[in-house]
Amino acid sequence: MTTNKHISEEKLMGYIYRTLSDAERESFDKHLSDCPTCWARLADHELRHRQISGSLETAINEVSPSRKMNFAAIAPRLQRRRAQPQFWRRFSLAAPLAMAVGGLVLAFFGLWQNLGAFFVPQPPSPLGTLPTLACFCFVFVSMDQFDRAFAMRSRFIIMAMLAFMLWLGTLVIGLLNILVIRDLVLTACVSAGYKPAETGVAAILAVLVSAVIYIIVIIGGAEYHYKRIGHPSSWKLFSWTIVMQLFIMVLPYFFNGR
Amino acid sequence: MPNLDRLIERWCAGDEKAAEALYNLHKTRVYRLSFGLLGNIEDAEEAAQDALTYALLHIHDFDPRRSKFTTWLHMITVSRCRDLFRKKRLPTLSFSAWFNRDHAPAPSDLNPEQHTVRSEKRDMVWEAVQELSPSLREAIVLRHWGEHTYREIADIAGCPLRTAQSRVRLAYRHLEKLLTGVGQRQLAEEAI
Repeated sequence: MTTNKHISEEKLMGYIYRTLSDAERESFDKHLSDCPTCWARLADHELRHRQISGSLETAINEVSPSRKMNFAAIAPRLQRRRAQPQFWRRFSLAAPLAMAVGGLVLAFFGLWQNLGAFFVPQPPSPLGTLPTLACFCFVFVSMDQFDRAFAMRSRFIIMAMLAFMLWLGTLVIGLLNILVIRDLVLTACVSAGYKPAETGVAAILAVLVSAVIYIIVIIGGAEYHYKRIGHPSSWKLFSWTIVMQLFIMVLPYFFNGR
Repeated sequence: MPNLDRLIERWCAGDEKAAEALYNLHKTRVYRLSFGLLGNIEDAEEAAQDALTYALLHIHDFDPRRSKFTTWLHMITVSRCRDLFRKKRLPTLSFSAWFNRDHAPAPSDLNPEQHTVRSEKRDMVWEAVQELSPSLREAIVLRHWGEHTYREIADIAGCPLRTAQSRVRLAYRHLEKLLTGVGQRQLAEEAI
């Protein structure tokens, strides 16, 4: 209990914060009645203890919620969430995670399948169903999270993982988009009767322009999403990016259909 | 003062008026706890809104045999504040700032309103509390401001009882040191 006949600092803390056992407390009280030094130390600590409590209370209780913080602001979230069927709420976290992982696998597999086309220009042809399916998966995830942002946000770590997977997905699909644009420009030039040299220049220009746009979207998007992980604005931007990428991805289908 | 159990019961049955009453009953305290943990009014509002929404949506998970409603609500609030704190702690990444570094002045983190509020709160203890690690800050705020028992602090922070006790003591020790340092600096400044 004591150090050099006086109560240890540890026990003093315990006394003030009421973490001592009854027996320890009793022995402490007995010691205090005989020791003015420990009494003074205790009084000093109690004073600081009160000072901390008082200051914290003043600092924290001085602030009050703004007018923006009212029930009307969260009521739509409650209604939307309660309107969701029970089974969906149960799977509501597993589904977007599975879709994001699935989408990434499809996107990378699609990229691997089309690697050869990066070096050999060819008439625009659908790049296989895998990247298109990947886009649908990503659209599902971003829209689900956008909707969730108004109802109930996921945990930060899950939102960060989903955002990272979506960003990686847009990065891969973006590469395939450049491929589609190059082939579309090539075919358009050939059908318009341009010479091979002019067609080549047009294709290079198309690749350069789309590459610049790609870099801006990917790097700018990374900064935007990084600062707004889990915010509706981030999921909305993801949704728009992926919808645009999906649109470019399906262009060859229309082109072939003509 | 509306009966809390009755309000919870009514909200479980789908009465939105009861949800509103529960919200209004707890919003100030949840907001203040968030402010105590985050030290920023905007973040505090975001965390408090999230915590209250979560609590109202998961009201069926609340078990009165396991804890008091305020303890359960504060547990959710602390969890939301931790999420927000982790987000704020991410290293800064700004390509646009890098591109504009010679042209645009560095934006201030605080708006004038926040500056005013902060300057009003520039109290020695408050400043010292802001310097504590998040787990110690949680412990000291829950103990001194929330007046929770150690058992409740342990439940809220998700740690063993002994850890909760030692965190409160450790936080106090840190504050004591910080305050002594600040006090000495102030005395030295006054002497000059």
